[in-house]
Amino acid sequence: MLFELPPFARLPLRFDAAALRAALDVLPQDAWQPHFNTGYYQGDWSGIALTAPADAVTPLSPGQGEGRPTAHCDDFWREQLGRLQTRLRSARLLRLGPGGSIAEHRDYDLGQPGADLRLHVPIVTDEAVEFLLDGRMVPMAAGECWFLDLSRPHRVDNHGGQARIHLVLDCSPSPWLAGQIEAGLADTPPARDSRGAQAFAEFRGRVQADAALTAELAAHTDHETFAAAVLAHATAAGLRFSRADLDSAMTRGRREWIEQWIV
Amino acid sequence: MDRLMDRTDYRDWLPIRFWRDAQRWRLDWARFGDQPLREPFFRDSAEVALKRPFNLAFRRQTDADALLDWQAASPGVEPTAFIFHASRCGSTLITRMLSRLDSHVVLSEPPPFDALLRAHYVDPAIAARQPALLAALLSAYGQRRRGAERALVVKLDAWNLCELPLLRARFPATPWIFLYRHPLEIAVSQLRSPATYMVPGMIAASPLLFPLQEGLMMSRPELVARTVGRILAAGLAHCRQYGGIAVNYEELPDVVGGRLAGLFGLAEADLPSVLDGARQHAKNPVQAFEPDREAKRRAADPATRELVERWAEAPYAELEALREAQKADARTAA
Repeated sequence: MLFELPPFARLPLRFDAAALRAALDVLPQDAWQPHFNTGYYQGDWSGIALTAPADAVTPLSPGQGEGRPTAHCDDFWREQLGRLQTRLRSARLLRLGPGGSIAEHRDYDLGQPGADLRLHVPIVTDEAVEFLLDGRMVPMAAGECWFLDLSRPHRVDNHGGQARIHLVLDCSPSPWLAGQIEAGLADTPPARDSRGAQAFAEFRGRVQADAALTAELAAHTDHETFAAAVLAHATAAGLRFSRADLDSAMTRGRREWIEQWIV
Repeated sequence: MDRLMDRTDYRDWLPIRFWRDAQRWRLDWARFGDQPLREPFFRDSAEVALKRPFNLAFRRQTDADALLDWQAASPGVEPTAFIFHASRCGSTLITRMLSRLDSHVVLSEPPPFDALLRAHYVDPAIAARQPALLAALLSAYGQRRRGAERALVVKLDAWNLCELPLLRARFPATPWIFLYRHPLEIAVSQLRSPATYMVPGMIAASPLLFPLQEGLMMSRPELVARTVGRILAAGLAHCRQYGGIAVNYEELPDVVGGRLAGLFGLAEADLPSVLDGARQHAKNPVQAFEPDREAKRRAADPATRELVERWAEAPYAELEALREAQKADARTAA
């Protein structure tokens, strides 16, 4: 690439969200296939491939081969994908059902030198969908096009009542794409705290102000009993955050300590 | 008032890191509770504290000035003595001996203290605040977390000799020692297993060490011999100018309960426990401590001997003369 990749950027490229949504509605319901990575999510996480690598084991799987359009890639989708002036290895519609969540993970393959860059185009989404990158919420809105460095820790929670659907594109790095990312950086909105992170921050403040609670929680040497005690106290205080919120705060706590030695 | 007290209450918390983010100097605090500092180095004690899940989830970060508020709210034990050293000279043995006492808070090379002592090399603007912050940082460490603490002994990093005048500016009356040994023995130890500061570029901003490019031009034995020479020369000059007590490794461990007992705030009743601490190897508690002077000297090759003689023998000889004079003075005074 021509410059160092940011954690995320909103590209100048925009899509017609209403048209994309209308095109979704004509796709047959049985085309949605469960995501292959079954260990990492809860609820409905499924997808439809529009373009898939030639060597992919299933249409939704990754691969190294050339991207080929599938039977679902009609003229409308071809036109949308054609707006990206770079080689596409895969284009997938990915759906996370209401109440669904994808556990925190890193896609290490995306972080390798020369690896594909992943773009997200939200089609159906709202404020109740929390896409967390490095523990912070990326404010993606329908019709926008975002680059995300998903070799960093990320997770998704759909707290809302409708399915979230994104068009997810794996693109070869190219000067055009680098230009789009660079041009988009200036007005990319900042990441913000998720609902869970806000509740956790408030709980942290209460712990610091309460010597007895501090002493009780600090006495734990076992992670499981500690987590159970924290969540019980938070629930009693009316603060809603999940075990995943606590775990990511602790992972960040460890990482911040370790990173001081990485120059 | 209650809210203000909440904000400035760091009872049971100790600073584990001092660093500068984009604009400000910051502190990381971990909760130690009544965990004593008995590991060979402060950073080991910090790692023990960080094993508690609480310190991963609820560790605190504050501005450096939080130290001043905390010192005002709850002043800690004043420092009893500082230990400067030429490294590989038994300084860790001394801290291990003293840390057996419930009455003594013993800080062994705490990284936040080193970072604050050298902060002005990267941020000249902090210089005016450094003396107050140094005192406030020691006050935070000197809190009576366990109840019986009455002494605070601080061992510094070897390269901190350069920052001794800065420390003296705030603590002019606190006694301090410079611990050293024959430079050939130090050199052999450093050649076998180099300390971080003997690797060019590993320790940023220290006037005591050779700059990266200069260091890389030298052979390892030359770099080690010349660096040891600089440390001994700086220790000698500071002992003369700032009244430091010269202590040779060969005097260990008895010197701790002997001519240094008063300086370290030791009572007669403390001595058996303290001297018992010398039975263990300082950095490897499984091994017994044994002087290894002859073995180290035999291991040196002729080239290393020559380099050490050229660069470090003279300040060593002068330190020995100073030490004899100090001992004679002490006998006269007694």
